[in-house]
Amino acid sequence: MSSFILHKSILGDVSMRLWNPIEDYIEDREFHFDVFDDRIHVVNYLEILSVGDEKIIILGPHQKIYLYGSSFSLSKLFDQELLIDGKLLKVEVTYE
Amino acid sequence: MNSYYIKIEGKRIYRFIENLIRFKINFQKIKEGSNYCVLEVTMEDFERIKKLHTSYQITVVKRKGLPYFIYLWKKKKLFLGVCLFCFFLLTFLSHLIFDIKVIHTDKDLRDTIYADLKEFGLEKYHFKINYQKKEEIRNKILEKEKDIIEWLEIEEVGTTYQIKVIPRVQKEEEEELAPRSVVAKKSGMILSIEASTGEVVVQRNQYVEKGQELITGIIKNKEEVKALVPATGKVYAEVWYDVKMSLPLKYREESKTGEQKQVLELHFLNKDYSFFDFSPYATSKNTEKVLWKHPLLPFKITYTKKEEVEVEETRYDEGDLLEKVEPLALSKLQEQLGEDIEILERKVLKKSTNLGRIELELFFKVKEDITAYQDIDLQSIPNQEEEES
Repeated sequence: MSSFILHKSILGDVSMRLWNPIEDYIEDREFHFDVFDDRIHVVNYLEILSVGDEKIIILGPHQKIYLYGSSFSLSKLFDQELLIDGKLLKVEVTYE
Repeated sequence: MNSYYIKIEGKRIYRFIENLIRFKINFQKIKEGSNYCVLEVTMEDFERIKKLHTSYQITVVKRKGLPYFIYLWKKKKLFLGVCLFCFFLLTFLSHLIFDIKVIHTDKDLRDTIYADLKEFGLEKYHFKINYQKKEEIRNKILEKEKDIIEWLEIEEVGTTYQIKVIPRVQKEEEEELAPRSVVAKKSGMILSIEASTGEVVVQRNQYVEKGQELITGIIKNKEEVKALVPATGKVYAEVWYDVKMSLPLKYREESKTGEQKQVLELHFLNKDYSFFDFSPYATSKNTEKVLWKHPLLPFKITYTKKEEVEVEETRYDEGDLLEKVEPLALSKLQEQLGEDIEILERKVLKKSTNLGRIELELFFKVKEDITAYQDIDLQSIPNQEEEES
């Protein structure tokens, strides 16, 4: 009986450790943005406050992101996801 | 994914994009130029874009998923409709029974099976049946007709059913035979005698007249009648025949093969076009039932019963005349005398050609069964007991 509980707890722990990254990958709930050479990928944003060639302001859950750069243009606009083409030069984050 | 690829044309495209951001309309940019851009939007968002009052020119360049099929249906409605109709018609027709054939030479047996099939639900122009139903019908017929059918199989071949039957062979009870003698059916020279009961009264190579006793059923011992038996045996004799034949020099014979089918046909001028007849007969005898006919144009639709016909053309020449005529003469003899004959000698007695016909007189020497039976007249036999007293 004790060996069964032991096995169950080990299996539960292993499965959780395997499951969490998969769940994060499948259903990403956190606000974050990834910067690439020629594009910026923003996930789980709340609103786009301003769009310009050189400045974009995005509202996150607890912060405002100011993106400064050149040749900005929106390539993908979904409810949770945003892809901005262009070169990023500077980022400002202000917490409210 | 159900989406549209739309091309936006106009000055300052970013203004339009700003509108999309403001109204929270999702999009994905596919291509961008100085005065245009191509976006991919969902069906719902496309409907919202259409409602935007904008001076930009919006054209759909590509459709994916459901919008593509809706567009295709709108554009090719007639073609797709006909295709769908044909598909359903073909599916419907392929599930119908167009013919049921009972394979047996006995017409009464065939009619009985046809009636049983109809009673148990297997009929022409009805839907095909599944395996369980087929087995059920088979077992029901076997049970109902157990006195006449030994085995039955229902086989599905395309849109037809073939029923193979083996009838039950009932052994007839042998009748008790009355005393009799074997006599000559016709005059001829005896070639062989096989007697199983009775006493042989003639010899080989003896010439006998029609009605002459060959094997007697009266068993005697020194003029004393010992027993009366039903004489049985076979007597073969040489019989002579003259066969006169008159044949056309050119001869065409049409014979039905027994195969037949119903076909929907379109007739235009002298041409016939059949629908769904995938293996047309080379030659056939047609019985047409006109379904529709144009009063002025040579155009009509018929439901035609086609019976397959085999055509055989024969031309008799002087050279191979005898070779071709002999089988005919033999079959003519076999028609009269039965199959159990053997030609011993043949000769052409007379040959002449007259008005496209050949007149022939042939002589045949035939080995033939001349066995016939005659009951013994019991009153003509003297009563032994009476004579002794």
